[in-house]
Amino acid sequence: MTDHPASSWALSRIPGLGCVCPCRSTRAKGGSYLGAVPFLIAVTALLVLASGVVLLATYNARSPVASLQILSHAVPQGWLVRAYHASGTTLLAGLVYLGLFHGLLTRAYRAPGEYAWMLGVKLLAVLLAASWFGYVLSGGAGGYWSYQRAMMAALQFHGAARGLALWVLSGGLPKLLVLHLLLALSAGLALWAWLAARAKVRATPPPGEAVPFYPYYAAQYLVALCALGFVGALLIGFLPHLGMPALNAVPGSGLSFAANPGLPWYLAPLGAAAGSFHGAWGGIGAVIALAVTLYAVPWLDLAPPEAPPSRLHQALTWLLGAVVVALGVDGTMPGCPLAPVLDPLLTLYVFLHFLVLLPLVTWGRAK
Amino acid sequence: MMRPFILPLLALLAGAAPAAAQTVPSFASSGPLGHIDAAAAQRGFAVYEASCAACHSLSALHYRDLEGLGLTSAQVAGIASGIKLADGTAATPDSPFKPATLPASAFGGALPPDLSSIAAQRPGGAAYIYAVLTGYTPAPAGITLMPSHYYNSAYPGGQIAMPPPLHDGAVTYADGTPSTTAQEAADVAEFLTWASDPTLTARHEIGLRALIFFGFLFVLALVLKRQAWSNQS
Amino acid sequence: MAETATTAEGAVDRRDFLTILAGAGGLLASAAIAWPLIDALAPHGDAAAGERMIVTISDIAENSAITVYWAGLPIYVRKLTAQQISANQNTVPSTLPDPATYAARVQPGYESFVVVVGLNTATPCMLEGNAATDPRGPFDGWLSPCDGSAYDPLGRVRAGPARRNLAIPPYKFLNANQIQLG
Repeated sequence: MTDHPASSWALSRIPGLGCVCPCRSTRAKGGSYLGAVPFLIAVTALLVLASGVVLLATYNARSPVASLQILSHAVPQGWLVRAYHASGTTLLAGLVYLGLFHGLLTRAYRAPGEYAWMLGVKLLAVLLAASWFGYVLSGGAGGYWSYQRAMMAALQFHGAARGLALWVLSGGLPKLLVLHLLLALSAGLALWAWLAARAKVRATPPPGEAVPFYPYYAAQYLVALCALGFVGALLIGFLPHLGMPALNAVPGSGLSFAANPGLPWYLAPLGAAAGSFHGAWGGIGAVIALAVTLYAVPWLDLAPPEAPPSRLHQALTWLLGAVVVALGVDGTMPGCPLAPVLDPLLTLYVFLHFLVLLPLVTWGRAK
Repeated sequence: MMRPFILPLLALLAGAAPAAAQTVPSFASSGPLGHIDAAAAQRGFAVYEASCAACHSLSALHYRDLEGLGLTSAQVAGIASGIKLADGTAATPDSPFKPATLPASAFGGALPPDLSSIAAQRPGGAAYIYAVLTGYTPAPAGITLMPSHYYNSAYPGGQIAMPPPLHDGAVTYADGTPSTTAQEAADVAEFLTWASDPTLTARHEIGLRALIFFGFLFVLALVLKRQAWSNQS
Repeated sequence: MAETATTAEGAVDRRDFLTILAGAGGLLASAAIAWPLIDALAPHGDAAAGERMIVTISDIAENSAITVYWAGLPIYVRKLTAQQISANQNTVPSTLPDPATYAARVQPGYESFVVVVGLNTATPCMLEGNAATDPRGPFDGWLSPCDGSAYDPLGRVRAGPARRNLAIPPYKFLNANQIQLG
């Protein structure tokens, strides 16, 4: 398999394919199943992209609800294609969150992996942006009111910021569909770049400690793929609306009002963080600050690249994960009375972790 | 202007709303392995035609979709040909369900919602629909009803603008089932569950088959992985 | 020693079998996942409904034709006279440029109705011969104003640059008064 003449012929002629396709590489022994997460992300992204392209044949941005009803009532397997796209997005976002968390836990961002880490952050950002446009395109009341709130926020800006915000948001769903497609394309490119960068910086294990990808890791990846298929079947068959606000089942219009429409679970942590800050720049400023902070993580960690993370460092990372989950849970429960108090505290903790605790806990080890 | 908002609020504060005293029947469609009971849903379609269709549209459905409930194309053509559209012609299997004809002004401005995905839109789905349809009772002492409203213990706020739509014998079932109000409510709840999720049965079947298949493949892959790694580490 | 070798060989055989089984399972899963994406692009209820069209033919007088548009094509529906029927019934197919029998051009039980796509099969332009004032050409059928191709009342080409008979759209008789296109 590895040395099949046809595959090596192709691999040597397509630039970049060699580093994305793992089949020719060797790996260190004893890698965990989490090492397969980037591969699972690639497989899920392919499914989401393919189902999105098929949805375009029926979806009509000028009458979204009616066209999606045709999809679920008349198109053969149309409901399944939509479920691929919706549940696939849930899987994809979950896997990217998981991959980044794993990166934080194992210090995968340390030199020379900084750029690969930044590409991973970029992938998450572009993916979440694309999924918000997808949420709005569904035509449900949740997406409708989320969009209205974004519009109202945009109108608070002045000057160039206002012009830019209105350029992005105005023009109705057909325009948003174009942005959704562009962002999906960008997410695909970011994913490719991330995989290629990771392959480039992967440490080559010493000969005695290395095993070829096939059959050792191929079998391990197959196990991970089956687990993904199992979870996917569970989501599509039995939890098709997991993490989606119930309000989104109602067609969006000015008549179906909700004070707090809620967000899909993968956008909820970000929504809760953005909602913690007031004023025209509060929400968007918080999101930009979060992205910049995540980009800067390789330089906020002061420990030498080869040092394994300390126990305290790992405990703090787990706590950070719990805080983000709490933010997400808070964000999916519209009207939770604790939210106005809890959200700013949790968001501040996230900044505190990266900007204060991370440098402190790694500072001592630098000497 | 404030009165319509204050009254349901008072009703809520008084603890009169959702009494939930009724016993809700179990629906074939509920639960993770539920399926649409085609016979009940067919009866439910008859109830919809007789008691709901005048005011509530069902815009997502075409008459041909009824074949999904096990009717033959000839039966569907027969049903469609018996329905007179607004322009006077008879419906065909490819016609969308006939839009509601009664204006909203008939109910003091309360707009009867489209029922296409009502079961997905309301928490509780079929059980909620059943509870509302059978939840009409005389208003308890101390509750003053708003003009042209009815007391309904299952409706949020307790006061609903929809007159009681069902009564015993409102429809004659083709299969001979006695048409009690409770039976009609259960059947139309099943029909509306099907209307909002017509692929529910297929989804559960495919999901279960995929779970079993991937579970089997998972075990197989795990054995393969153990064997491959057995001479390493 | 020999025993160990056999066990090792058996283990390898078993692993090969498991590899093939897992590979087949993976292929099956991939195909099953990909199939809905392909099937969803097939013609479906709503599109098919848009492609179906019912045409009333009871108003068509003998020796006249109507034009309807279906799927963007001009469809000619013509009712033949007894004389046109008898004149064309006995034509020997092999003498025609594009041999076709009478029965192949009409539907059984409704032999007096001809349903064709009214586009010339050489230079594609709409044929003349439906209106009473139109020239019908030497075979009393249709005539192409673009290249002079002539057709008989059954839509079979008889003369001109055209070499093929007029296309017949998919249609069926619902009853004696209505046909359904598509």
